[in-house]
Formats: sequence, structure tokens, C-alpha cells
Amino acid sequence: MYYPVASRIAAQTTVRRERLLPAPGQVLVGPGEMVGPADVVARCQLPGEVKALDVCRAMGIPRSRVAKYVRRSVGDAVQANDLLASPRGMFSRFRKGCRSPVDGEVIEIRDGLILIESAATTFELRAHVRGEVTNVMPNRGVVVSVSGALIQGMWGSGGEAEGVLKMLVDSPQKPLRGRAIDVSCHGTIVAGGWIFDESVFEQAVEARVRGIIVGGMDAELRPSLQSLPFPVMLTDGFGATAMAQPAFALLQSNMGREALLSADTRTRRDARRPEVLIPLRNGHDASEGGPGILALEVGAQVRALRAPYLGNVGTVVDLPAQPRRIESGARLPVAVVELYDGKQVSIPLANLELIH
Amino acid sequence: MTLDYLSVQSILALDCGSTATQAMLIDRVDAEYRLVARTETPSTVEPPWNDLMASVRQAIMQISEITGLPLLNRQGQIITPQQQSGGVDALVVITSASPPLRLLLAGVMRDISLDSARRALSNTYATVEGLVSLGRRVEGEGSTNDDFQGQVELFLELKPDAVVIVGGIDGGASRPVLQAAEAVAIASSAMAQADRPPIVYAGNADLRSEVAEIIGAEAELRAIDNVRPSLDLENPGPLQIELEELYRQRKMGRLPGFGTLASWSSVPVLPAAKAHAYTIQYLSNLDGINVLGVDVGGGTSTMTSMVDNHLELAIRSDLGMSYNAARLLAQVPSKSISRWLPFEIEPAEIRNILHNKAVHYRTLPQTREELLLEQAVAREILRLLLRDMMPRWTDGASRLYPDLLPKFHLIAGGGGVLANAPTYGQAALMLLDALQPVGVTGLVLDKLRLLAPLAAVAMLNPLAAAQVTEQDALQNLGTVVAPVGTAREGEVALTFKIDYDDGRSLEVEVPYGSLEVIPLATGQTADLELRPTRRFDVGLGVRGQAGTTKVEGGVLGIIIDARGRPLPMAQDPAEQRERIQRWLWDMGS
Repeated sequence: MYYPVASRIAAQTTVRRERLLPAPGQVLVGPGEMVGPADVVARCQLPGEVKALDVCRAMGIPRSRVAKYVRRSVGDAVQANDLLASPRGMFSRFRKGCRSPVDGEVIEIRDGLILIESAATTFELRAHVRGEVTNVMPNRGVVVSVSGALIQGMWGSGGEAEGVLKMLVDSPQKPLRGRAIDVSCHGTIVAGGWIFDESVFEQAVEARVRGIIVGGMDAELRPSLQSLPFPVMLTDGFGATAMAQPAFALLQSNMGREALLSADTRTRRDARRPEVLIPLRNGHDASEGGPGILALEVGAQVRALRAPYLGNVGTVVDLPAQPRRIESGARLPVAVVELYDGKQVSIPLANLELIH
Repeated sequence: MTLDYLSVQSILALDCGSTATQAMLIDRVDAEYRLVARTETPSTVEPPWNDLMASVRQAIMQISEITGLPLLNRQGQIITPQQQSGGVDALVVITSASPPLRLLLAGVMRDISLDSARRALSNTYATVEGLVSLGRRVEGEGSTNDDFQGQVELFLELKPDAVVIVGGIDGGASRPVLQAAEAVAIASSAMAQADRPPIVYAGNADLRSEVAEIIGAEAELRAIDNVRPSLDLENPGPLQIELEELYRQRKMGRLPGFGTLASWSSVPVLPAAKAHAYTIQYLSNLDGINVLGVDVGGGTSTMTSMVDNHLELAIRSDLGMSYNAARLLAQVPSKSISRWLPFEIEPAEIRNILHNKAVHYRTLPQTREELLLEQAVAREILRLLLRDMMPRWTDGASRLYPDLLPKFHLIAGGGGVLANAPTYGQAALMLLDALQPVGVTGLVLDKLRLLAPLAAVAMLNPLAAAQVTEQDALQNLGTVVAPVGTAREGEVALTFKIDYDDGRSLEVEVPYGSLEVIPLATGQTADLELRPTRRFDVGLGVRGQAGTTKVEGGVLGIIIDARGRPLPMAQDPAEQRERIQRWLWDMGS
């Protein structure tokens, strides 16, 4: 029995999403409450950032003599631009002082170095999804259950966003081009086959879109994503990779609906896949049934993760008992998969992802 | 638990990697210990399983299916010792599934102790994430110059697993070392008590008490012997031991399921790279030969050498064929990878394939192009390991040429990309291209990935480990003869004569630039007479000097690699692609 990695592309399901505080705090909602994406469900205080300030360097004085210039003590509250150290004596007006870069508290003074912890900030955790609070973890967060369409992607970055879904191409093979993004995309999450070039980001920033969903993107563009004010999700991988047909069809059929995009991705430990969730109030609920560990069986819908079939979706029609020789010359356990176009191909089990 | 090794008949060895978990059953067959069964299953240390034990149990159950011997009881616990109804006498474990220790290294500018520390660290599962070097700017690695404020901020930003402070020979420099300690102490004080990393002090021994005073109660201080006690003495051992201990406690020990696994093991769980090094050391000591072991793993790659009875180990936790695949691009340009390919490929395509591999790191190349690309990546990983190792090999009887590999009698290749290469010729060519051995060298493949687990077996039953190493562990590829020298392409580099055991003989002239394979089956030996022309050395240290040697056969036979050392690469990419294709053909691929 082989247990492949699995991915969800579901037209109607119920998902439970944990919303957790980064530090212990206060949960503001109770079980059974209905919440919307922007609702604050929990709140906590985050310690401020620590800033280090080298008085000796700033004032050009030796470390051995610095003590007499420092005018603050550990525990003192300071405000940005407050004088922390200053020269004394007859030449004092010719030498500059040393001022605090932030509001905060002096937490350490040692060897001419002053550490200031900026004021704590309040972190507000939003529900991000529209649904029902089904579990409350005191001081930590909540679980929100929501019914709707779910598409898990391969990679993404840029955090979370909500917006109306807008498909800008009519085929999963067609690239998303910068010129397709205009003012009508303001406040929407736009989708296309794959990202043609960097102009897509420039136009998307200008049009103030809330997010981008595509099949693929050149890996070279990864650094550009860091400065974007919205998340980007790839459903199928890096390169000029078209969006998998089931994902495209599902997005297309939900155009105009509110979509919730969570793009951050982590591989390995604490793994987390990017996903887009489209809340739907009506329709048959197939239920997610937990993360589940499913075996690969004949009849299963799968997606290929490597060339020459990267991104292709099909159905397993045979699981040969013996390994088979593949194009590379290696003998590997394979599945025979019937692709959307009816062609049957052998794909190594390791290169398949179960779609359910 | 103490076991008398003679009472241990059956041993289950587990190798828990980040991508695959292997189980190997060793038992007595007739009068000898042999590998009875081996299974492999994808590791389950990550979600949705989050438990190392799921893949361990699956691999063990597969062993039971093969042998018909139940090894787990109904509760899923290992049955030990072996009984009539099943079980094994003992179980041993090695692992490489943990992420490396993330270190901040603090030292004194232009001080050789920094180099000593780096060498010591490259021997452990650790990556230097930041470098505080007082007094000068060191490019890269988030280094800072003589900037107290910068040092503290770097520390707070990196949040390392541990801090290593080195600097000064014993009785030497003090001020910069104490300043580094001050910076670390101040930064520690700004972190929550539970988040403060331990500080390992391996600098000027005379300053230990002052450093302890500076650090005070701010953090846990581990003061050990100076990594560089004098200008002419390097002492990496204590630092390596300390970091290994930290790795065991803070990384290995925190693997989900590790507690159960460790409780099953009859001996302490070994980090895989260390285990691999122990076996290479054993192979070297067994025949008194120089041995080089390489392992290109999923997340970590290692190189172990035993040269003139001196052990060196280089671990690169940032280089591997799975989730680290794309990180190679930060260290070598894509043209360094494409130069090993017989077809044209755009840098963007290499980048996309490697980034996809990093996301789907368990996938395998299906097309020949992607297979050769992964093999090209393996060559570059080996080249980087070699670059780390080169300065450590000192001049001596075995170091014939300063820019080339020392003379190794045996090279053992391991890791998935080598062990699972579709043809032995591809595996051999990866080793030859990347390592470029000189003279006469045996090539073996750790095809079943047994070398590292056998070190753990040896802790329990050395006889079993020795017998399995000899009988089952290594796939003999053959013997390579690589003359050193240059000539015009096609000119004769050497003449060799093979006298086979059955009385046949063969004499061949080898032109410079060629790569030839002469069949000599596994188990057969032959006498080889090598007569290089005056511009070539066949590993005797003198050009033109003839010699004879007895060689063993293998699945490939005798490989005459007269392509030159260092391996010449064509400037014209099209010509280089043609060469690569020719070499692949020459090796039967």
C-alpha cells in the first residue's frame, strides 16, 4: 500500500482552521459564534523589538569613560528622540548627544551599550474565514469551521487576504499578463494560468489587487514577491506551468464570490500548504474529514509532480505490482494514469499527488 | 542495557533519514552474519504524521512480510530478544532526520582561531548563520565589523540555537574576545530566559573566568578547551564533542517519536554522518589504505577521508538532493551545473526544476534530462565538499599534487543519487567527474546504503558488522586508472598490459582525452602493467615511471580515465556538451 502526499481540490467541503495567537492572550469569541473574515477573534500583547545603541560609537568616546555620559537608568521609560547620553563640561555643546530611536524602556546598560525595548504592541487575530467557531483554546486561539470550495496550492508567499475572485483568462494554459490587470481588479483576488513576467506585479500593485492565484511562475521572480503588499499562490509549481484543470474549473465557477487566500508555505516540519477557500452557504457538504492519510488506489484522482507530466491531472487505472522501467532508465514502482485527454501513461508513485 | 555481543544473533538496524527510513535485518546464515532483508519507506517525521515511528513501524512490518518473522507485538512495540515466535535480539539506530544546529560564531579578526573553528564546525551537523568578527568586515554570512551595536542586533535577529565564541591562542589576545563575550551577554539579556541559546566558549583558556563573569547568569556557558591553543596547534575535538552533544539534545532528541525509538535501541543513537565516518575509518584500517567516502543525501551531504591514517570529515547540512536542491544555486552559477549536461538548457529551467524539487523533494526524475540534471547537481555538491576538504589534506606521501585529490586506494560512493543511478556507468562517472581521482583507485558503491548503519551494528557486534561489510555492503564497480599529465588530444598517454588470471593478456595504447572501460568481472583479478609516456604519472609521483599492480574487477571492470587532471572542460558550450555525451557513451550510459 502506498500513501502519497495529498492535496485538496474540492467543490464543497467543510474545513476547520486553527487560528492561533503568537503569544498567550485573550480569546474574544465563544463556541457557536458566527464570525466573518475581518472579525477579531483573539488578542495578545507582543513584546517590543529590542534596539541596541552604542553610545561610545555614536559619541566617539572610549568605553572606559562612557558611564559618566549616560543619563538614563535601567527601567526608565523613554520616548523617541529622548536624550540617553550627552557630553558634559565646557566642550559639551560641540559634541552631539545620543538619542533614543524609539519609544520604550531601557532594559540594559552595559559597556556603553544601551538596549531599549520598544513598547509592547497589541496583536489582533482576525478570523480570516467566514464560519462558525467550533472550538476555543483558552488563551491561545480558536477553531473556525467553514463550508465552501477549497483549493490547496503548491507554493505561495505573502500572508493572507480576502477579496472577490476574478479570473482573467479563459484557459488554464493562458498566461496572466500585466495588461489584463486594470482598475476593475481593485480589491479582487485575480487568477490566471501562469505569470508571464514581472509586469503582472507592477500592474497588480497599481490596481491594488488583494492577491494573485496562478498555476506557475518563474522561480527567478521569487525575490520580487517579498516587496508585494498582497499574497501570491502557485497551484502547480515553478515555471510556465499551466493551472491544473480541476483547480481552474473550480476558480472559474466561483468567479465573483468572496475568496480567502492563505499563501504562506512551509515545507518539512510544521509544513503548511497555501490554499484558497471560497465560503459557500448552499450545496451538498462533502466534509473534509480531517487531514486524513489516504492510500493510492485504482480510481483515485492524481496530479503529476514532475516532468514530463508536471501539473497533469488524471485517474489511476492500474497499480502494477512490479516496478517498471521509465524514460530515465530507472526501474520504479509506477501507477498507470489516464490523463484528461484519454492518454494512459506510467508515472512513478513518488511523483504523484492524490487529489481529493 | 548491556549485551554480550556473542549472544546477539539477529540485529535490526534502522536508518531514519529526512526523506527515507530504512530497516535492515542482519542474522546468522550458516556460520556468518549476513544481510537477510532490507526495506525502505518514506519518512514520516513531517505532517500529516509528525511521528518518526510511523515510518519506522512500516519499514519493520515490511521486513516481517519478507521474512515471515513478526518483529512488532500487537501494541506496535519491538519484540526483543528474539523468541521462537519472532523478534530480534537487538536494534540499533542512526539518524539524519534532524535539522542542523544554527550557530552564531564570534571570534577575533584575522585570527586563525576563526578558521580553526570553521574547520571544527564543518565536521558537525551545524551551519554558521552569522559571523561576528571583531575588527574587520567579512563579506557574507551576516558578518559585522568592529561594531558592538551590530553584533548585538545580529544576535537578536538570528536567534541562533547556540553561540560559539573563539579567539586568541592561550595567553594571547584578550580585549576582542571579552568584547565578543560582552556582546553575546548583552544580547542574551534582551531575550526571554527560555529562548537564550547556550554559549560555547572555545577561546583563550586564560580568559575563561573573565568570560564566565561577563556571561554570568545571562545564559548557559559551556567553557571548553581552546580550539586553537597555540599558533601551530589546532584542537577541534572538544568543540566538536560539545556541538555533537548539543545536536543530540536540541535537535535529535526533539524529533517527534525519537524517545520511543531511542528506548528501543540497544546502543546510543548515532548521527548518520558520524556513523558513515566510522565505517570509512574501519575500511581504511582493515587494509591499511587511503579511503574516501562520499554520501550525497537528501538534506545533508558528507565527505569522509582517511589519508595516511588521518581522518577528516566534512558535513554540509545545506547541500542535498531534496529540500536543499535549490540552495545549490546560491553557491554555484547555473552554468556550473549545465556544464555536466549533454544537452542545452536555459538557466531559468534549471532554477525552476530545482525549486520544484525543493517543494516536492520526494519526487524522482522521470525523464532522462531531469535524471542527468540531478546527476549534474550531485557532481557540483561533491565539488563543493571537495573544496571544503582540500585545505585539510596536508602534504605528505599521498598528496602527490596540491591541486588534485590525494592518492586514494578506494572511493566509496553513497546517497540516493549515486546508489539509485539507473546504470553503474552513470554512478562511476559522477564520482570520476566530480572527484577526479589520480593513479589507481578502486570504486565501490554503497548501493544498499549499509555503510552508516553498520557502524551502529559494530557498536553492538563488531563481527556481524565486519562480515556484512565484506559480504553485502559494497557493490564493486571496478578499478579506475587515471594518469596525471597533459598532451594533445589523441596523443598516447600510456600503454597498459592486462594479464588475466586465465592466462589471457591484452595490451592497449591509451590516447590522451579518452575514457575506456575494459571488462573484468566481479571477483576476478588481473595484473596490470602501466607504462605512461614521459608526460604522465600513473600515481607513483614521477612522470614516465612504469609500474605494475593487481586490480580487482567489478560490474564495470577497469576504467582507464585518460581525460586529464584536472579534468579539462571545453570553453565552447556545444563542444562541452558533445564531450559529456561521449563520456556517457564511453561509460555505457
